[in-house]
Amino acid sequence: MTKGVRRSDRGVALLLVVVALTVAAGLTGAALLIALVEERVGRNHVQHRHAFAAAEAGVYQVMAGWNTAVYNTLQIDGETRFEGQLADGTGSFAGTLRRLSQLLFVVTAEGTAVGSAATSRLGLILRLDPLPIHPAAAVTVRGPTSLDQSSFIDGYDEAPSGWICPTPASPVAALRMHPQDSAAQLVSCPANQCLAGNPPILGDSSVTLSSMTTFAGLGFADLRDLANHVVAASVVNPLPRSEGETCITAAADNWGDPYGVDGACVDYMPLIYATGNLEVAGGRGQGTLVVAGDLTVSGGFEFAGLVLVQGAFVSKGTGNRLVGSVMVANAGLVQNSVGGVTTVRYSSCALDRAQIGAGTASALRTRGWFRATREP
Amino acid sequence: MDKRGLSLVELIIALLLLGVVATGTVRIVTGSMRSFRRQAARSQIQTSLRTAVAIVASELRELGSVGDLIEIAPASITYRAMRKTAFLCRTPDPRQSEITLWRTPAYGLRQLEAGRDSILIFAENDPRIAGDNTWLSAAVVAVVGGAFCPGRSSGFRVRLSGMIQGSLAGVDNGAPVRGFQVTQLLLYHDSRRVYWLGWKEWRLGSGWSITQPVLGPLAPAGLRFDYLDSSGRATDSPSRTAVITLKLVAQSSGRAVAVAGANGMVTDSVTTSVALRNVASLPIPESE
Repeated sequence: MTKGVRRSDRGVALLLVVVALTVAAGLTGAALLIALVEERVGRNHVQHRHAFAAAEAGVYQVMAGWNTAVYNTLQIDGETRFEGQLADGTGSFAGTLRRLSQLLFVVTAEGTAVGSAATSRLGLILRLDPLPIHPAAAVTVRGPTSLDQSSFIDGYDEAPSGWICPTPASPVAALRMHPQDSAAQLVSCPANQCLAGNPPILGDSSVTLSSMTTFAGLGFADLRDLANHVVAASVVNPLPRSEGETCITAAADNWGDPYGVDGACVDYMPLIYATGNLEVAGGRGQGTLVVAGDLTVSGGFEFAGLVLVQGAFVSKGTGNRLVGSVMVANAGLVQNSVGGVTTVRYSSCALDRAQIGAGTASALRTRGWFRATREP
Repeated sequence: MDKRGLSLVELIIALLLLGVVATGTVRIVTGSMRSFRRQAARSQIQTSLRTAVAIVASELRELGSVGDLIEIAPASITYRAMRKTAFLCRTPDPRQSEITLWRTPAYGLRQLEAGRDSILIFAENDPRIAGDNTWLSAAVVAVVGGAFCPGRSSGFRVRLSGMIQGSLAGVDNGAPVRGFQVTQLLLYHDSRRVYWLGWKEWRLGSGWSITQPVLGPLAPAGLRFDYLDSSGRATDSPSRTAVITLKLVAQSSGRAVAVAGANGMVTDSVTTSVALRNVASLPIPESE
């Protein structure tokens, strides 16, 4: 027999279940919401770290891969842009390098985490470390050296023609040699007529093979690593190369333009490294010329800056003109010859620019790193 | 029709069963709510901790060991908080106590403020010697904006005090300038003995400002700094510090979650190590 349930007999089970389910659903929803917020906060934190890592990688990548041909030729207050990505693909960066002064640069980078709007901006102040080579003479040389009457070595400081330079420094020695080498070697130039300087000849016992090939820990192999051009050829004739206002620094025979005051390559001061004996038959250049073997110049070669020779030095022909300083280690102690019509003139300005042109940058020892937050 | 009612025994059994079910339900519901509140409190604490760690790490990361750390202790740190990076647009006259800065580029949280900020000026000295570079320190007396830079570009003239006469002689055009304020982070408690991570700044002429809360409430001893040198050994020397480890223990603001901890508080902690970026050698990577 089926009977209808009386109103008074109804239970509260359904009500209890509904209430319990509602409460449970509310709590579960709230817990999910908290978890969701936590997950988002955590994800934001990770993305911010990726952005920070990308920005930091950007500024340090510029320093580690210092491009002397581009960065060292920037005008003061000039800028160049760069961009890149993290190797693990979690972020990218873009920024600018700005030249503040002859020696100081500031690099700023904005890092962005991939797939998010998280960004971070950092900066690094860099200081250029010029080559630590400070010759105190127009020519520093080891071994027997002859100087023709028609050539001239001048220790009086002079700027290369057309250059804007600071006031000249005090005169230096024309010829600096080891005391054992300095006597009666200048067979063709009696009474030091071919020399001008203070003094014309300086005997200096610190002129040794070691001091002429290693400079504050920097050896010839290190200089090769810094080179813009490594020259394996035995005979070269360098000339500036440009297209419009762009200096073609990748051209192996472009050694800059010492006298093209308005030219595109006037600020390009490369470091040129010759792996063996080198003959430069005419042409012109500037910067730092490093020769691992013997160097012969002829044909009216003109160069402004620093010349380092591990072997012997020979000049011949007319019109050779070297402005800056020449250092000849002459490892084999064979005969050097400054012949033909050759002028070697000391120039602190040309030396400074050559050393800066070949310099690499490092972060300031203190307080170089900073948050590059844009000001409100 | 059966007109009989419930017997007393049936009624008692029904009431007992109802009581058991109701008690169980209430226990489940209150337990769930307590758990939810505990999780909500923990989530809030973790968010606060993350924010505090981000702020403190960002402040400390920019420091170097040479002069930037003034006083270090387990529950407080006094340092030069970097606030601005700018660059000279003119070579300063060494006879004057004044420098001129570009408006752009310049970076930082705010402009320099007289009476609040000091600055450090990079002095190149002899350009042939990298080792003779120094930072000159001075207080900011006045800051005036105008077209002071080359080409009538916008810039700031900053008047300084506290510099040795002539010391600007080694400073070149383009030199970087860092603006800073002396700041202290510390553990302190308010009048209700509630502990906080506090922040205060040194103002020229008036001394330390009132301590402002950064994060809290913290557990008693809820802030600890440890200082390591560049080889990872503990140090108590500001000039040798290369890495700072920060531990924060935060707790909930009330006892609503009575079973959460021994004192009824939800607590959570975070530890982070910050490698000072302006120290030369950094063998210990940042672990934050």
